[in-house]
Amino acid sequence: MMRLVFKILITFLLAGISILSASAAPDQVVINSGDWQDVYLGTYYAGFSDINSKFIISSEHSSFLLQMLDKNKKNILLIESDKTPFVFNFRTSLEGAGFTVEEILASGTALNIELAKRANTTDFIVVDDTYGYNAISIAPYAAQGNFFILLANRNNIEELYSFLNVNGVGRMIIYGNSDNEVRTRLAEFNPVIINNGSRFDNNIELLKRYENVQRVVLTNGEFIEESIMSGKEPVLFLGKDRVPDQVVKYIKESGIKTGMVIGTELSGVGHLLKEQTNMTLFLKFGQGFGDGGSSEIKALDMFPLPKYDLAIDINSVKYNRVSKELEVTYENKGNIGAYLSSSIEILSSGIRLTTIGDREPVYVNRGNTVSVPYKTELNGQNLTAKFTTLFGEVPGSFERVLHKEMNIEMIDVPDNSLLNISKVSYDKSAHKIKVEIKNIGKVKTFARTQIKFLVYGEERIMVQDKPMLLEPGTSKDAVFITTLSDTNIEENPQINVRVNYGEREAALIKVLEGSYPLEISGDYTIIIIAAALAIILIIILRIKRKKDKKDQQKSQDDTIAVPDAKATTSVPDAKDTTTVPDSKATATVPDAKVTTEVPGSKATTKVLDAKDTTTVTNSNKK
Amino acid sequence: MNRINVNALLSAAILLLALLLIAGTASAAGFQNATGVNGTSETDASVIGYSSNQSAGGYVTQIDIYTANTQTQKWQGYYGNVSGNIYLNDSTDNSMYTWVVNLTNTFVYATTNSTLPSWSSLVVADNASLDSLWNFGASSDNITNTYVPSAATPNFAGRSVANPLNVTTAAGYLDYVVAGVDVSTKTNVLWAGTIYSGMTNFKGNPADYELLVPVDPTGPDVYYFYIELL
Repeated sequence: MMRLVFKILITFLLAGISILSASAAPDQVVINSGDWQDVYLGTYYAGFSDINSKFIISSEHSSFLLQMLDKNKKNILLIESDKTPFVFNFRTSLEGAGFTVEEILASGTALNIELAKRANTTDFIVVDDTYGYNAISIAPYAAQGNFFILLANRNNIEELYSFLNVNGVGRMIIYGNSDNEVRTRLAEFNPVIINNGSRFDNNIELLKRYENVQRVVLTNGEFIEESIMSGKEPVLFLGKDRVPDQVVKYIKESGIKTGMVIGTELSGVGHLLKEQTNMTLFLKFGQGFGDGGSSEIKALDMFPLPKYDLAIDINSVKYNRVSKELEVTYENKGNIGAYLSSSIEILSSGIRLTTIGDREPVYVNRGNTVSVPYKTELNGQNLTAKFTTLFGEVPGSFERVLHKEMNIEMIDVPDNSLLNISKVSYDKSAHKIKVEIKNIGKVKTFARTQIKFLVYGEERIMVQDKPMLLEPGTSKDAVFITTLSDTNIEENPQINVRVNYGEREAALIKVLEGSYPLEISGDYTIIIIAAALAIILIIILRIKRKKDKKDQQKSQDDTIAVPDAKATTSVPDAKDTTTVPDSKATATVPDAKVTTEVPGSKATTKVLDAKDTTTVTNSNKK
Repeated sequence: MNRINVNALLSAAILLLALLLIAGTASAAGFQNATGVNGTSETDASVIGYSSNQSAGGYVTQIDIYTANTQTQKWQGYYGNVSGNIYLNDSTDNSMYTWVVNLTNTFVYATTNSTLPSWSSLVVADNASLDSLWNFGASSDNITNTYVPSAATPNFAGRSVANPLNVTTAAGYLDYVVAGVDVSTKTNVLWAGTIYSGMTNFKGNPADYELLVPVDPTGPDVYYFYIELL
């Protein structure tokens, strides 16, 4: 019965899909959509089915794509977005070029489910669709393992779950970061979770699962290209400016000797990889359509994917002669938080005096600045700082590098600020983590607080947008709104807190950091339930009393209409009934037993309601 | 602390910019997703939301070496320049120093394979198989009459192949054809154009390579182009 319900549900879900003119099994796939997910799913389906695919990257590109199609493979599966196609009704163009076309007019999750059904498999890999990195990384692995890919998030997980319930699930992998809702909903399918942190670590984890890797496709996960999606060779991620250390280490250990870098944009980082590993590397740089003397070499067809925008800059470099610290202010101009690690050469008129740097990676939230003090003793003229700043989304995956040389400004600014952390607590009812900070110094102090904790094993970092001001001797809470489940509370007995503070708002050069026990407060659930029950009880009682009053009034009124209640007909109102001494009045009631049990005036009142007494009588008889 | 010595720093700073393949004639187009046909530039489809310099390295040209009434339908020719530079740049791409990568006697490769054919074992491709694969049959401009056995043993990115078929273009550029593992499918076949320095192409313009590739009359081919990174 349940299965039937699910089938009906799926029918509804697929109501948005139009499948036009079913034909023979396709031998080419063409995707006409401006949505990366459609292009990704279409090309993946083709790779999964071991057939070629082409995708349109603009309306102008469509005519060129017609030339690129294999004329000997007549049956085309056209996947056209019902929302954002580049070309309207591309089917007509394909048919005009002599192809037989089956068309799927759909996009997003509906398309995903339709293609998953066609893939005819019970093995699935679930990937979050916020960025394209993990989707690119997993594609060849999934194709080789006969998994179909589902792009899941908290909004579409119910649709996917319904499909999976009907379809059945054999093997399931959840790859990379995913929404809690996704993992919770799919838990019953016993998925294997692959999530080692960064996209590079996850990618390497996949490579290790291949039995034998001779050659890899090298890309950065920021675009779709035919060879990446063909599933023929594993994908290994390069960085953007540099190859992350763990990638170099993996290549050296694995013994992979040959790689193919996709696109000229990555030729520089490919060159760096070659220098570090001595691999034989080829750069795939173009394509050409040969038709006998009028063809051309052109850029590869690439479809852009959502990507991290990592951008770190250095705003100022000041040497504070009072504290003997080099104060460097970094700014994160990107769209995600980033870790950085600097190596700083200090030069005096071009001659190196010393080299300082970060022992631990520094986190800078997106849109924020962080001032880092470096202890050093500097003297001399014309001092400059030459930076090599590595940065990336997680520590150990530094794929970007910033080279910058800046003059050092000399300042003499004392900073006598002093803070401590009194308490770290989680208010369950308010869904807030609070860090109580006290200014134990004698000067007003600015503080920006950062907390680090786990959510189902994944590290989360939250940072205050703006520093808060604490007057001497006062305390304030740094408040972070987040919801922690009981499981999350269990996995965070302590929370890492870092407070950057100082007298100058623009230069929070002091740091207070440590792990603090997480106190739980504000669990008012039982109190709220008890209060709610009490209120309900009071309401019920009041209603009952009102009803009783009403009944009493009604009985008085009804007494007039009761045929045998002669004695009571003269009773003008309820008050008077109390004066009725005679049990005769009750003699008109069929079952006298009831009335005899009613004591006092109340009984009299009851008796006046003939209906009530009748009911009671009947029930007693039963 | 991440300490980086000077050499490592230089290495990290090195950026090999796009291997520039520039057609040196009026018909050649620039880099930015550009194609040129019959001496005019044709802008390639732009990619929404994506930097156009991804196409750097792709250049476009057409060979107009035949008059209309004798134009072959079996061959496609490509030519161009290849250069590679290594820069020591600052954060705003100002170069303190530039090194030139010497690509002479390496190759530009063309194949119908969207990935590369197997490189573990490159073998000689025979004419009969190639003509069969490209559906050429007997004709004066088929593969047999174009690519002929050589006495050379060129090295293709670490794989030496003795006596591969080759052709020398009218302007003196040497091209080879070999195969990965065997010649059973088109996608195993690799066409390789030797890269020279200071050569002049058939149009009298500077060009580092010319490459002739066959075109199947029953279904035109899409070629993908590769170069070895040094």
